[in-house]
Amino acid sequence: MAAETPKKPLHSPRKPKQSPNNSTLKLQSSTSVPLSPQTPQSLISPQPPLRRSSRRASLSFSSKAVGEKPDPKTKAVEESGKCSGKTRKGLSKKETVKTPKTPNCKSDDENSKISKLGKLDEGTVEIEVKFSPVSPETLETKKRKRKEKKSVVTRAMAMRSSKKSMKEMKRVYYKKVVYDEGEFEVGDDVYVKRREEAGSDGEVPEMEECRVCFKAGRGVMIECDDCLGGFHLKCLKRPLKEVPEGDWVCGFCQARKLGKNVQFPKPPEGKKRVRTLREKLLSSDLWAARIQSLWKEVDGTYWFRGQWYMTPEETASGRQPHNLRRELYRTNDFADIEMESIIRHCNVLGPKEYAKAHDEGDDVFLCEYEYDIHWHSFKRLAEIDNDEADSDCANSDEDWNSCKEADSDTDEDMEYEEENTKNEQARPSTTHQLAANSWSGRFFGLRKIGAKKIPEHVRGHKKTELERAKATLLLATLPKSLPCRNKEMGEITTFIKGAICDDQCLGRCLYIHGVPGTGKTMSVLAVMRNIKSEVDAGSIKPYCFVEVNGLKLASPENIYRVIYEALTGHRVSWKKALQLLNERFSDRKKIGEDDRPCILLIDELDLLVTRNQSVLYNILDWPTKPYSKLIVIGIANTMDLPEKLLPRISSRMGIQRLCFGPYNYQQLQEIISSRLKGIDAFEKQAVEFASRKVAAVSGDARRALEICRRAAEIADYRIKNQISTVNSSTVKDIVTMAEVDAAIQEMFQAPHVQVMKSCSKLSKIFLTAMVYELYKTGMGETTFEKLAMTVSCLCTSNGEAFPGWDTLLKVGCKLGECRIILCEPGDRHRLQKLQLNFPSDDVAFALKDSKDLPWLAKYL
Amino acid sequence: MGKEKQKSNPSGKALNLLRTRLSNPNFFFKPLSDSPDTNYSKLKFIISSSVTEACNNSILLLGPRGSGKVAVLELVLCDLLEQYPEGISVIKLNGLLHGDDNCALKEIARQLCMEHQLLFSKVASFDDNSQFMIAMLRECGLAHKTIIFVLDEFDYFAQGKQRLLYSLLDAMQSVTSQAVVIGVSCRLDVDQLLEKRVRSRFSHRKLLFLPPSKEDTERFMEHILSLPVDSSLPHNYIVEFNGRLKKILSDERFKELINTYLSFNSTIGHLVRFLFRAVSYMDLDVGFLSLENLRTALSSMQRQPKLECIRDCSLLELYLLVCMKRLEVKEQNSYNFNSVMTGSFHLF
Repeated sequence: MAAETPKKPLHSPRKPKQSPNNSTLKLQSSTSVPLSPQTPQSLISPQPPLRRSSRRASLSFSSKAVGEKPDPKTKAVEESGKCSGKTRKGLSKKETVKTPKTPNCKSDDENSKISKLGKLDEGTVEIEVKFSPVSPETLETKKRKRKEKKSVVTRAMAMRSSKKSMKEMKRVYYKKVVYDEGEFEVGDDVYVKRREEAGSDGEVPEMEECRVCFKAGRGVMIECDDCLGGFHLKCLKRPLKEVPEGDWVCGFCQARKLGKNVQFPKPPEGKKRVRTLREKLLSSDLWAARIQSLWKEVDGTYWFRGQWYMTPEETASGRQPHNLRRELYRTNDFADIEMESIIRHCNVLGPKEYAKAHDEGDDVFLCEYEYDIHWHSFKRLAEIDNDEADSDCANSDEDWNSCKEADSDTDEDMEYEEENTKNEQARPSTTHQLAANSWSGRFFGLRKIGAKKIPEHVRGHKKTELERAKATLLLATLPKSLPCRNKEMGEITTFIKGAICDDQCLGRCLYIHGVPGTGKTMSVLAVMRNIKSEVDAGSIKPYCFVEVNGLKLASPENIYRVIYEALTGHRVSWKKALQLLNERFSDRKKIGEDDRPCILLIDELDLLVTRNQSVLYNILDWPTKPYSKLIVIGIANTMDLPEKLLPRISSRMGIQRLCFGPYNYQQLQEIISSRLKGIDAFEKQAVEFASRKVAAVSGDARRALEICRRAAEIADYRIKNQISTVNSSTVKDIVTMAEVDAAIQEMFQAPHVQVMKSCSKLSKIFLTAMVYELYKTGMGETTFEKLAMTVSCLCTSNGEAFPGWDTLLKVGCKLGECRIILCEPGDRHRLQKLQLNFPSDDVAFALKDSKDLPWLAKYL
Repeated sequence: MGKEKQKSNPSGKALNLLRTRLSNPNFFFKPLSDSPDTNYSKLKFIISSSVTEACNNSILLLGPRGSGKVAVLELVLCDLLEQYPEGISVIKLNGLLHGDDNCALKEIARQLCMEHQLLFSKVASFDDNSQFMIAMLRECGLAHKTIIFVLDEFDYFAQGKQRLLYSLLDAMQSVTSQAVVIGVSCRLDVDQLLEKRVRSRFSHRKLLFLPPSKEDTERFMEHILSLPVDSSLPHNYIVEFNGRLKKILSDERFKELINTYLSFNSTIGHLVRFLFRAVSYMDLDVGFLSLENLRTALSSMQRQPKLECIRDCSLLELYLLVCMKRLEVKEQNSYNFNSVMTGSFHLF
């Protein structure tokens, strides 16, 4: 404790100084209202496309505008009032716990400060305890910091760790906590103090100072994209009227790039340049973390579990050239931290939001990758929130969660335990390794995969129009809207809503059919997404959604297992699963009192047809049971699948049907052009040509998209080659009819004509003889013996040497291999039956004007 | 003795060099790959752009056997592995070995585990393996790694329910995955074999491998047979060797010879086999290739096994054959030993 005491005097004065500013700021950020209402309009540049820098100016003014300090006491009242207001939104239980807390943390009483400091130490201890098992020796960077902390508080550690086990039992978890005038929620990103420096420069400026005049505020500031320094527009050497579009680099950085040695202007005497939190974070004097969970310890202190962020410099590979200045990595490193060490919120955004962010404040960071501290590897962050929501959908829901939270504390502990074990699983152990591809090792090795360095080409490379077009035409990219399927989607929506919203929830069945690539699955999934959002909004009762694909099952019976697993999360054999599902759906015996309606989507339904069709019968029989609450949506290609099945099945399935017809050319055109909106890469006729062609053949949207993508690829290839050879910038970078035509040729034309044109001389004679034989006899099929006679006739009358039967047989087999002709195996010799696989006209067309054998034309 | 050995040494070395060249497809496909029209550069563009742009693709390589489909693919993969050592992992399957979906998935899981140093379990079920594959596709996609699936003898995968192809191609329809499926087949109608829903998911890029033209063949032969000037062989030997080779290549008789050979089968693989034989016939004492070598190679490759068999038949066997032939002439297509005996044998 002795080590800590000197900090105290520094620490305490900081608090009152900072709090007024802080409070107003956080108020704004927590309500997530953009700062504009408070800001005097005249001072910010009025144009909407604000750069990130101009928002800084607005930020500073807003804090000034609300600058008058409220009396601490009244503020406390306000705070508590706000608290209760907030909590009412949340859970009823929170309220009782939270209200007493606020005055406690607000009191300027010296004693409570001291006690808090004491707890702070414990906090660090806890971090130590938590961490050492998780990451034994692999992590270096974080470890280093932690060691520093350790040196301060070694004594308390042992004491605390012994206590910990008992205390754990009475933790109370929250979703949202109001602490120190800030509102912190699970999922928020916060700055975290590095303990040993907490007192070093206590003053934290809310806004950045100009790098030239060293004053904050007063006029719009612009941010250099290189050094992130802020400049007043009017302080620049060449003053700017407004913030320019695009990237802007300050004069100092420009000069430095040219190799000059420049010095930033020194601050005036007596004034130290203060660094903002952002600068401190990026120079590793601060940390940032994402709140994973929040809880109150028994002794009344508030803690959170944070997921650390790292700056590029802290990773094993260091800063890479493509790293942006404001880039952070999310690690898979967790720590339990006391709320006291939170400074305030910061905004860590994904790449898309970051690109859009213009006025969120100075504390905006980009995070696109996750950094694995064990393997030192990077991985793109998937749309995590989406995924979580999806997995939640299967086994939990809002109501369900809340009732669980209202339960006794033991429940929470269990959750905590689970979390612990999960963490243990995630860490690589050397003693027993599980196989990655078996179920038990599911979470196991996959962590390991990651790029050691983020490849150069991912960033740093500006996409051309064509490349953007290619990316948006990918089958994988989910379109923002689904054009041309409004009617069908409406029908599906009414079907599902009708089925769930009924009070009795009568089980129903819908059969959707249509040729491949007409958007069947996509429409259903889009409808489900819409309904899900309605569930989230609270207008529809929650349900669970299970998606099965018939072609991905090892055998039809496995579907029981998959459904049961999706519903309950347990893996059992399919027979057991069938029995349990039967119980659930027919006998009114509910699994875990889960009585939400269940929507079952079966893709490729025709694959479930077994010999006695029992699988389909079972599945389609459940919805007819009175209390099943099961809705089945089947998707298949064939229109008459119900008719092909046993009558008892078709009577259950064939009542409600929905047909997805093939797209016509206007619809295809609309689909393509809606994807290509805003990208100028295609001639209009080219798109029309592609869609007309596909509509005439199959009406498959996938095909149309692939043709366009291939055409863009061909154009891209041509242009890149031209640039490398001609080195001219005047190359037309637009997809024309020619490229679309080439793509269509490649996709639809069988390559046999080209192969026939270029095959060997004997093969050509062989083919000609086959056509000749066909003309002569009118029979499609011939034997090798007859053919050999014809070949020898042709050869002798045109001055070619007859190669001999054995060679001829080999030639025939070669052609058979390519399936230009169909033939029996070569060991049938002269009795081998032969037949042309392609129309004789194709052969005639291919061989008519061959240069080395002009006489072939006579026989074709 | 020692002198003789010294003398034969350069020719032995040259023979070795030629043989290594002829059995290394990377060597003889390299010069065919510089212009933008070749399959090499097209294939390389498609694969590398799907690596850099993080998209999914599926390509079919079609062409008769021996036209260098796999060789060119190997060449491309080699180059790309050099270019993006971290970003690519290649999974190779062969339809003849892994035509069964279950076994193919297991093999994919095994190779993925090998590639990423994970532990592989043999007993994992079909479901486990397919889920593992999909999970791996996702993880690799997130880590900017492209998985390239090479499916040799693609037609064998396109049989039955085509579960493997479906789950592969369906997994490739998600944004996070980053994979290229390359099918290699000598069947030209292989895309017709695909089931309709698999075909709809397949992206139908096709590269056709054709036998080289006559000029290309000549250039190719010169490239492969002439000795490099900067090798360890004695200089005057190399000059002499290359001079003689040039003379042979421009000889009319040689052209005729090679034409008769190529009229049978003009693919590169076939030509290489022929050249290998010719080189092996080279007389080490002389130390140079001669036209005679090529001619012996040709005659040894164009044999007529059935005619040769008949030549060695005994008299009685020939009698029998002649009798059968007579019956055939009388349009009697099916006969047994008895009918042959009674019908014709007494004639002799």
